[in-house]
Amino acid sequence: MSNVNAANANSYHIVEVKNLNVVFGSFFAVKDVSFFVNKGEIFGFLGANGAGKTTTIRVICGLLCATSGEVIVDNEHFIPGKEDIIKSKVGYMSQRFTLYNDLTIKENLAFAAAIHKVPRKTMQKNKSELFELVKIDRDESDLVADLPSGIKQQIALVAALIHNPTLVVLDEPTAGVSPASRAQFWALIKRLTEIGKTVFVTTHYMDEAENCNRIALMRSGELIAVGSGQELKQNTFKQQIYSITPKNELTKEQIRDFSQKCDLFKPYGIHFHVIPKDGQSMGDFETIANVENVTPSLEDVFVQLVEGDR
Amino acid sequence: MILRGFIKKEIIQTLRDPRLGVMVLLTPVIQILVFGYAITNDVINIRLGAYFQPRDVIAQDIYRSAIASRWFLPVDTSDVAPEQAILSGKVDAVIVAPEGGATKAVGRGDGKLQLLINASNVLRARAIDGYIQSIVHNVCWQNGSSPIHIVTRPLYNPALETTTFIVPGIIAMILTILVMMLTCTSIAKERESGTFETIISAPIKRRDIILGKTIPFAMIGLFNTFVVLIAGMLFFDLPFRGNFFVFLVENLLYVICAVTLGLLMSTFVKNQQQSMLCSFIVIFVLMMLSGSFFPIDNMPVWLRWVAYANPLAHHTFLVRNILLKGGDAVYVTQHCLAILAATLFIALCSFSRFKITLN
Repeated sequence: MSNVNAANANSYHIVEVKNLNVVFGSFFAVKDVSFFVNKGEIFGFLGANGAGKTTTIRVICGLLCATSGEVIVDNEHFIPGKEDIIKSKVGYMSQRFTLYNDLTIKENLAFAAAIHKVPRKTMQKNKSELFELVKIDRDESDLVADLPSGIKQQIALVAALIHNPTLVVLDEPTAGVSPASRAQFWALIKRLTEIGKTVFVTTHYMDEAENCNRIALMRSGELIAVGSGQELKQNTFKQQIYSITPKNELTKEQIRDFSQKCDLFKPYGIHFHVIPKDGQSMGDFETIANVENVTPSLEDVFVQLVEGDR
Repeated sequence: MILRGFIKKEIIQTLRDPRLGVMVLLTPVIQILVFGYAITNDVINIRLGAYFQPRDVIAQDIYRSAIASRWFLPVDTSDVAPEQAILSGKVDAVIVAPEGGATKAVGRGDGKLQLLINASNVLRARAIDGYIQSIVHNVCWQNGSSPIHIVTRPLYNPALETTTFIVPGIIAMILTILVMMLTCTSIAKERESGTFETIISAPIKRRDIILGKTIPFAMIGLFNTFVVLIAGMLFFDLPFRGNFFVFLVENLLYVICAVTLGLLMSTFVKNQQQSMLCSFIVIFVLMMLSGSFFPIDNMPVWLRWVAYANPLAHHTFLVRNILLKGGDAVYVTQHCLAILAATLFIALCSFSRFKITLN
């Protein structure tokens, strides 16, 4: 983790989080978390439910006060009286595409612009640019309640970007939308970085996380790994991963037996991803399954690091 | 089996939400207490003034008997004219002896006594009239004198129309219900749907959110007051004897009080369901202790103090006073100050509780 931080020491850190703690009563929602986000990158924040992702994001966006620690956004410290400076640099899109269903697209965007103190002319300009970027093809007088979730997601993104923020924080932006909309949305996220935005995104989908320049993994409020996808894979899996495809359905006894012989034994569709324990050959597996070498995926990393110790 | 499953689930859900559970259990207790203490149609603690010569024995007997009955409280009105005493709210009724005195008039066989009553509260006015008639009848019977005719003048509502008494109270209540509930529910809805998160992620001050969430409902409430007032005047012949500007300022003051109360309530609730239940409880208590239906003077002393802390009670007094009596300057000022004090207190509590973080 520290190597990764050192490697990027020369980049401009748009977000710096130092020794962040958030405690609710006696529960540590976030425990001594430190990381940074480079300007212009897509930074993925991964973790199981309740890992502390949303809590961390809420602190960065100024929605939640930290118990201790330091948060710096674009060189501005979160200190009383300066929250507004940071908030004006951040565009936040929460988990539930929080738009007003009983307002039209136009009315929702006008309200988003108003609370961000965006003048009318600037708002019109930003809106038309964002509509072009997002490729929204809807009548602005449509009620949000009548929109499919994919479009709502795009409108919510436009609302989050209407004040032209430097940092875009997306909290599980693709939850509850169709796979096609998810793919489109990630293409959009990439376009955002092309126009100079930094994207800080949380997700549950490991295939989506592959799109991130760097990834942080959270578990039980603690940060357990940070780095690029490649770095995480290399650091997590020193050994070769195999994919085995059983010739016949495995019995419970066989699964238990193989699990004991492996550091990783994880179902993957009709296959299993396997790392044999030191000194264990793949010969035992080859008798009952087809064995192939595979490159580890982020899902393997996630399972190993986040769920592995459960 | 299915029914048991449903019943079990609903009870668990209701009681598991601590706020909802407290409200559900608290509501009947509050209702029984308020109903039990506030609801009584016995009219007591009537402030009675009298105008008669010191040597007018019969008038003195009548006044003494009235005070002894315990329905009435004696009030010295020697420094003020009878109608002014009622207009200023100093007394509820006055007995005025005829020129030359009631004793002489009875001696002549044409005994008359004038009774002026504040009839802006019809129920109270009718009861006062009945009490005095009965007391005078008893005094005449005990003294063996000829009967005395009571000439009753119900002021501000000469026809003793119940609607004239009820409608101003309804106007005050409608404003309260509408404004408080809209403010509280609107904020609860923002929290429930997650849009509150979006709002506080913007560089926006707490003051802006509070004003943004209250001014529209204050405007709607004020507009509705005049709609209801016009409806009352058209359909129930409700008089408007006061100054329109005074009425407007008083309503504006009260509407600010009602929105701050709605704002305060919103800081205790997390969703619309809790908001509705909370509004129901608060509005119920405010209504019962407003004097709209049950006179505050009839309540026990401790509950009367609670009622006097109720801004709706002062607003109801003022609406009745301005519409029916024309608005006595001292009376209006006193009650406006009471509303202002309540508003400042509620606003202070609301502002300190209303947070723009999710902590």
